[in-house]
Amino acid sequence: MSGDIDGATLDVLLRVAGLAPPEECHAGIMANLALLARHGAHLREIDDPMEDPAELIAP
Amino acid sequence: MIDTLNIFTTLLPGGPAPDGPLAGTSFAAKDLFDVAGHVTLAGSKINADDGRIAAQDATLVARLKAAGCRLVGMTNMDEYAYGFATENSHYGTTRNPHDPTRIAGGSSGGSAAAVAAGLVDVALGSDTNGSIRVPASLCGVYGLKPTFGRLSRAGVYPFVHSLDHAGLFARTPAMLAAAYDAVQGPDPRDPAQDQRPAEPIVLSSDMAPLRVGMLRGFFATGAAPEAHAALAHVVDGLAALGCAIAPALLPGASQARSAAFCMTAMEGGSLHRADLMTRPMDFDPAVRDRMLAGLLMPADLLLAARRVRRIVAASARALFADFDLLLSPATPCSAPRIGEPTIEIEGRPVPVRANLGMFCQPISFIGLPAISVPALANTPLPIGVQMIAPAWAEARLIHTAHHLHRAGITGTTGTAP
Repeated sequence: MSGDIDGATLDVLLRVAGLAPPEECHAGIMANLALLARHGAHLREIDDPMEDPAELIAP
Repeated sequence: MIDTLNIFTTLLPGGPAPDGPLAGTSFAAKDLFDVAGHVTLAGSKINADDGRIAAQDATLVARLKAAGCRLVGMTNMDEYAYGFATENSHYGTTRNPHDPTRIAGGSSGGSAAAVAAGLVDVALGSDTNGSIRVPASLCGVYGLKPTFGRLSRAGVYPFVHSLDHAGLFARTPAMLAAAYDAVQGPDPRDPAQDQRPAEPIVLSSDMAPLRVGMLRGFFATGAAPEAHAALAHVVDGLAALGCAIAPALLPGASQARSAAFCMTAMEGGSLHRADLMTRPMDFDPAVRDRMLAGLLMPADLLLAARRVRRIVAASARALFADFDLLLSPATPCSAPRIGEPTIEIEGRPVPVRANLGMFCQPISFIGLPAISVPALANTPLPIGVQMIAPAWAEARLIHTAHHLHRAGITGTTGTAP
């Protein structure tokens, strides 16, 4: 997911998530989405789902 | 008590001095620890409006009281513990006792400042990404974040369940040890706590020579000269105490920081989803926008972050086969001025608030115990060094800090009476 989204895309994302913050929040949300996308891409550099033992729940 | 530094959200009336091993001492609690009869604000307007009064003390509050430590009040913090500055849009900014034009750090900024100013002997804080170690560094006090699951979180308002730790501030390692001993041990009120028995701290006059790793790579870049000076000072001090020093690398540290960043926004947002849907404008704007963004990220990212945690935790366990203790700067700089958006590091302006916890985040992310010790390195303002131990080795951290303190390598200066 790219963090660099436009206002129309943000509107769709918010609607799907059931959120309706006022317009004045949108710039801050988009800036944080971009930051999260950058950190997300970075952490995936060492992520390997095929090698993960997962967290086991002891019965 | 006149609170010119905006340290407290609530000051309690004095009462009779309680008995116990900590008799004659006092403490403050970050205002996310329940105190019976009071609303736990957690730095928020929403909690104040809701007005839910705590029926009983948080376990750590109750245990300090039972040990004879007198509760003086509750301290200011970033809203819902989401921040490194204690610049709170509802309750104001907590000022640094060493220079009131500067921040105290956060999110447990009021607790660190209360100890640094000498208003209390001990303070309770919480640390999800660095919220004890960052303000301890900027305020020049000792700040302990124990192993994940060591101390009870019963009655502690949550932020990110899978990353939250409770911990302590003090001006001396001896006081830190005494308070830590008073609060540790299993608590049936906290189902997430590890049930290992208390392991009392013994501060002996001897210190075994430790194998100390000076973290390089991610931990060696992006810091201002005073952070490097503080680290070098403590490294030299440990060498003088007989420790063997060598460079060390923690693979995946940078990715761990990113994973902590994402997990925090996503889990934190999830916790407050109902209020973010119905009353977003009642949040601190900075907190609100981060949590809303976290709610919009795909679930796959949270799964990836959890996998990265297992990878980096395994790297750290392997590293501790060669080292007893790891060192890094606690913060990339000393306390910034209030309202200052950036600092210059390595010739570039760097956003200060997002980066104050950069060296702490990878460590809390994998749950290792860590302490910020105030280096007496002739820097203009206090700054801490982060010491990291293997899981459950808090005693090693406090004992090493005790010897650094006795040798005059670390210590508090200036503001305490």
